[in-house]
Amino acid sequence: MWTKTEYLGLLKSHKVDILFIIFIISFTAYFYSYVSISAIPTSDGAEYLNNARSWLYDTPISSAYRAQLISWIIAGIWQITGENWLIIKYVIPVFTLGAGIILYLLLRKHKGNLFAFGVSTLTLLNPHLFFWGTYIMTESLSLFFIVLSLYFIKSEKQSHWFLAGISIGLTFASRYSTLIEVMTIFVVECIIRKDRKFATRTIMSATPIIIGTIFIVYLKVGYFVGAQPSDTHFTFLLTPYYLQNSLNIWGFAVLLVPVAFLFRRTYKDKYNYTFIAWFIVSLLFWSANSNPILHLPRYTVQFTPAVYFLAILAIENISKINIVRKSFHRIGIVFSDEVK
Amino acid sequence: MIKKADIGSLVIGVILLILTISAVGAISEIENQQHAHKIFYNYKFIPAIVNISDLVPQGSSVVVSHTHSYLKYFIPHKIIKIPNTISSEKSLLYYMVKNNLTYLLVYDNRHYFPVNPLFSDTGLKNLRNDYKQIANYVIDDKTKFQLYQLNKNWRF
Repeated sequence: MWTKTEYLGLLKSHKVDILFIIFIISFTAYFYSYVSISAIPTSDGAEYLNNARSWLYDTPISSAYRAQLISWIIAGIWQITGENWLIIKYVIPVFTLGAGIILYLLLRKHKGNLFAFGVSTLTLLNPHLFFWGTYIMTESLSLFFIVLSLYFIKSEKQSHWFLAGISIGLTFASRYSTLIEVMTIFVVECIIRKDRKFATRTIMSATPIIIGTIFIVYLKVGYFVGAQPSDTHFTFLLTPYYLQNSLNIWGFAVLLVPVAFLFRRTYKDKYNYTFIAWFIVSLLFWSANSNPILHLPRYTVQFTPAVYFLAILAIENISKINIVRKSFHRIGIVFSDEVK
Repeated sequence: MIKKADIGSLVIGVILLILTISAVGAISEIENQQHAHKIFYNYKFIPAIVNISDLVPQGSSVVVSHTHSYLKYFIPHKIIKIPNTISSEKSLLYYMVKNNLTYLLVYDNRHYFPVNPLFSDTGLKNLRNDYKQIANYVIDDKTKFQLYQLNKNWRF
């Protein structure tokens, strides 16, 4: 039997974890209240349902350029439950919650639970991630696989590197354009680690999934395209759209992002490099698309965790400045490496 | 003189304010998003498509003004999009008679796409000479479904 002191000690040492669990429970209730009131799928969602039906009944695919993993998941569920879009309406948003939880577990290991709490809660509360995450869309699915890939990539266990490759492959299958984001994370990690075993294991498991995805689509459709031709025009004249709308997209927390780059500490910890590269490459990629129709806040969903990571990193760096350190300690804001 | 503790409190205050505004702003932005996409919360939409489908006999095809993913998913009949070359009610009539097609579904959704002049209010009036309107569902101020059946006494 545990004594009262042991019990209180456990609660004290896990207070942020407990707070996060309470947040997740309340967030899930709030999030699903939005899921439940939607009456129709989005038009993209209806396309994924159409594609799922095509896979299930072996009829021609209606939009072959769309990533097929979501439709395979839907078809798999329908195989068990029978065709009903309302079941799918409740299942796909689970990936949004999953992404938030994995993000917390990932950051908790290296940056501590307070840091992880900040990034995960801000990410889940992002209005665009939240809104599109409630629908049958690939935004939440691909975010889930990016974060899962990152979780395995950052792991020191060799068996996880194999899983990282599988997850990278599934990220591609969930939304073709996110391969750029997940490959950026992988390449930066290869440079940081300088470990050939890490690179080969990950590539060995990612390659068959990526090739397999392309091959399955090719067998069904007769060709493979990753996007509509109108969506693939890129220019060096970057659009300022995402910077101009950054307050609307990420809220006031985005103001802290440039602050993170001012501290030498940001560059001392190599762990941060992955997130910096993820943020910069994604922002450049979406800003380089010359089609104004594709300048949308929802395309930032896949790198929103990197934005909030940098915002919380800025707070962590500020809290370590001598002049303010004591004040942070007084109200209980102590980041992990100070605890150690 | 400003004390060190004051600077610390000020910094914390600013950071907490930024995070609070971010979180509170997020909730109001979610409401804005919901308002901007209010069609997703319209409970008349799917029943209207289903009712329209019930009016078309099994095995018949439906000619549609737009091939939208919703129509493809929720209408069990074969969906045929009006060819781009058709720009007048007479060419539409000729196309439908030639291909032995009877049902025409006009999907007017001004949230997403402009109105084809053929199916504007004036265009629809002209259609009524050769077609009979058998269903009209107004979903909201910008969205409606109208199902037409070709009259037996159509004329070129």
